[in-house]
Amino acid sequence: MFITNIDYVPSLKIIEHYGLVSGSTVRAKHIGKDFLASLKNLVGGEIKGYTELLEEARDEAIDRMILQAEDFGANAIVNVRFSTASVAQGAAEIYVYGTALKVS
Amino acid sequence: MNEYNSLLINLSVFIGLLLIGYFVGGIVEKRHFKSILEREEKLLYFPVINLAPRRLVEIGEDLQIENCFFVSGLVVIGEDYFKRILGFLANFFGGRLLSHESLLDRARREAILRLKEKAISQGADMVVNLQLQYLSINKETDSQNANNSVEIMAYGTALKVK
Repeated sequence: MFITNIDYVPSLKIIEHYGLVSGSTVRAKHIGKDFLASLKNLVGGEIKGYTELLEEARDEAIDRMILQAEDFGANAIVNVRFSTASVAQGAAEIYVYGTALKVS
Repeated sequence: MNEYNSLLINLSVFIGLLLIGYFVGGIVEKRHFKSILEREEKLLYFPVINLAPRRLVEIGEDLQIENCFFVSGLVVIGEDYFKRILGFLANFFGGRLLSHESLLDRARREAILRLKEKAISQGADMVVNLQLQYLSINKETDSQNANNSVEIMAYGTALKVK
């Protein structure tokens, strides 16, 4: 699966396009991680717990997008963008979308 | 007398937290900037641009692309207690908030460095079409005690050149 955020796949030809595919996930903060984060908020610096949490969320959103593209029979997703929304206090949505293509 | 005592305790706790935030937070920030500068110098050879490769070909660059894949770098950096109080005071006086400018600068540069490191570890030669996305999982909008943090994701397309 080729994933790019430019609007084509370099050196490959587009055969067919299947329209928009997307994946999203809503993640909430973990109370244990939140406790450590509140200590971290005293002295500043990187909050590793949140970095990991957001990395997991990003990977899951991308995985869901790939599953949807595979359902269409696509082998590439181009022009991938991210969007986020904060739905509730301490929870956030990561939404990723792009155009599914068949290339060769 | 009792009330006076509890007020004094509250005040000393506040000043204690402020001092810890200022000194320890300052050390943490200085250390982080040092590591950022070192790694930036080491990774200076690796090009990261926010143009599509088509543009590079248009301006006459000879680019034979072998492979492409998606890379991203993510970081969450929290502010210290001193910065939080400064940010709170800035609501009254306005003006430039130097303390938070450095916070954002740190987070952005760290995110881009992580993107570079990831791209290099996967064997890329350059990253094109870099984009930055700000996230918000640690935002509490309606409280004075909001723990603010800067959450930045840098992403782009890594290219392997023939």
